Amino acid sequence: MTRDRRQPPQEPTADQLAAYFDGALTGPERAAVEAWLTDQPDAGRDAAFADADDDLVRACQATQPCEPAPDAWDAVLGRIAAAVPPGAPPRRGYLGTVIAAAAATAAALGLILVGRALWPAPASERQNGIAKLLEGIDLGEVLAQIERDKLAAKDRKTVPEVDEPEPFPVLAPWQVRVISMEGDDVYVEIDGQLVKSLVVGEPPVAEDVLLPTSYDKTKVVSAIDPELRLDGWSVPMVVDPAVLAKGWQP
Amino acid sequence: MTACTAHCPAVPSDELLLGRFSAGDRLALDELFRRYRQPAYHVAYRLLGNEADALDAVQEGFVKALTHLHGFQGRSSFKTWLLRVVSNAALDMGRQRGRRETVRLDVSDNGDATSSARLLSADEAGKGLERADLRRALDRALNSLSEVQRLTFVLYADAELSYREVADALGISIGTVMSRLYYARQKLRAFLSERTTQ
Repeated sequence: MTRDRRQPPQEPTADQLAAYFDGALTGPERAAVEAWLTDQPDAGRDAAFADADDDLVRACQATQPCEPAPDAWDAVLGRIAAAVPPGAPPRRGYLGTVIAAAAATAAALGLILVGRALWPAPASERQNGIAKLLEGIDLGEVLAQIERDKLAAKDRKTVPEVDEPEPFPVLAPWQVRVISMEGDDVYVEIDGQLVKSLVVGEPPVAEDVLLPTSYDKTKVVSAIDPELRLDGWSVPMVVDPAVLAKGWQP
Repeated sequence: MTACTAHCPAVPSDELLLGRFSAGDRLALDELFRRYRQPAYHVAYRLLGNEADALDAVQEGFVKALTHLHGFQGRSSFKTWLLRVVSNAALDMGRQRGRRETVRLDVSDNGDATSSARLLSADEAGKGLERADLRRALDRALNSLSEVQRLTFVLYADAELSYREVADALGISIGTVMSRLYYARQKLRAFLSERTTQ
């Protein structure tokens, strides 16, 4: 069977391209990506940044630090073992704690119900018991508290378990005027005063910005000027200098 | 020395070691630490710029990763999970201590050039200093990147993770990894060529 050469090779997906450069593709799949790279020199050039022979990567690997002394490693390992003793039960996150508490409560209720089913109390005693339980309880307040707890639990579900969330303190566009930018630094005018702040964030600014820290998926609500771009795709947003003064850095 | 045959015990998987660690086996912790301390250290060192801080970040990362194993849940490999936690720890430390202060770019601070040069031959010392110059230039160039680009590049170049692993470690798509690396490389090249032509 002959291949129709007039039909351009199909563009690989990002996953396929990455797998190709990771050396994970073989056979026809690898050939298909290679055909596309050959057929699309521009795209191939753009994709060539992934080449494992990249000089920047080699430079990084050539300048990796010397290994710490063995006793330094031993000291670190000793401190890790002291902080997390082998065999210690892992700490539960919020969800784990809630599930464990719910399971314990369910088990206790189950036992009570089974006990009641096997040894039922007289009807009058049951009514008295319920009345005693409800004595002095404001049912409206209880129901309101349950609703508040539900809302609070719903809010907590969005909080990462390991990292504490923090706000993303950026100034609104109308609060600042950009004077100049240099690397991560930006010089802006705020209330007539020239101050140095920091540029954070990348596009798309109208969507979630993925940061590999506790600020993951923080919604960016303001950018100084969507038209003002650094090289590439950076869109400047200015961190409130008052926050920077407290030691916060993006 | 004889080659390992079928009689040799298989290298235990990370999952097996984590299970043994949870059951109280200290040797499992030793093995996990020995297995991943180097890539963790390389990432932390590149982000913090000195040995003491990097070791602190590695320690904190291991402690957090092992303490919060429930957050790992086997969705990625332990290595990528650990490196994610170590790099977060390093970034947090960098923020707390002021990154521009902690990244020490002078030769004597990297602990492997000037201090060792006295014990080396002139040629070796020369190579060491060249390496230190290169490191200094790279550190400055990396410092010009945004935090997300820097971290993505460091995980790829220093920790030698694959695209898939970087994506898993950062919880982003492979396309985003490639995009970040693309722009990171462009910026690094521009920064470095600008400095070398000056």
